[in-house]
Amino acid sequence: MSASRADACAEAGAQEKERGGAGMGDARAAAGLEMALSGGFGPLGDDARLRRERIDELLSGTFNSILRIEERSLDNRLTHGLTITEVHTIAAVGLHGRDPMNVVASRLGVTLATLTAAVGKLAAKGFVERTRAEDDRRKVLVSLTKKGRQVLRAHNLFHRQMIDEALSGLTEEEERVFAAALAKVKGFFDERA
Amino acid sequence: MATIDIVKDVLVENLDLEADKVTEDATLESLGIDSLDMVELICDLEEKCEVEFGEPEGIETIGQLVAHIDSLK
Repeated sequence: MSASRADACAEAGAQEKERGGAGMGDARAAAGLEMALSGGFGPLGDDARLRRERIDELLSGTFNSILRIEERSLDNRLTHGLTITEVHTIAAVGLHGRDPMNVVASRLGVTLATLTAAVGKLAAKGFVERTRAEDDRRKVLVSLTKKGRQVLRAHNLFHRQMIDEALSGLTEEEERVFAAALAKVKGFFDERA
Repeated sequence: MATIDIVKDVLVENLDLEADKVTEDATLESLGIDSLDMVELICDLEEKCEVEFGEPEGIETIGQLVAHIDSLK
């Protein structure tokens, strides 16, 4: 993608967002995105079109593979029986965190009710514990137990090993270019997610 | 109780290692401690030594492990 096309896409998205307000769920924003991606700013050459199709497949394929590998990684003695969603809830609580439920809920982008249900299950299995804040007894704080910290550390270990191995075939320069390009693409998706 | 003795206790208890093999010079690898063992070990040591261990990288020997824990106290 040339710089000017990338800018045009980003700008179109930003304008749509401004007009549409609500973002990804908004039909007008979605229509704007479709127009930008279908060549609304001029035709693409055949090579560029093929490359885009390839990149689209690469992104979806990589995303799906990471999810599958991540699921499989849970099959060890410390994380066995947990789902990825549960592990991500544990990660949002944090290694040494002791935060109010609403803070953890916003970290995960879920409602308080959803988090309350998830934390209830994790507490019953012994991965998290709930305590009352000393300065305000109405406030419930959530933190990891030793078992929960084991899960989080095992999960972080898996991520470190996965990324080290996945990037081992790249030169340092390739890794830098990859990181910079992916950060731009991620920015686009994050704004709409 | 000295940190090295706590480390010895935890290793003997959890991994059935012989106490006299757990010396400051011994590498985790030579003791057969893999990365998941290390996760369990760190969580146990955190409780027993009352420290927040974080996630340090590059700890290869028992001596380095002890020094890291002592630096947190």
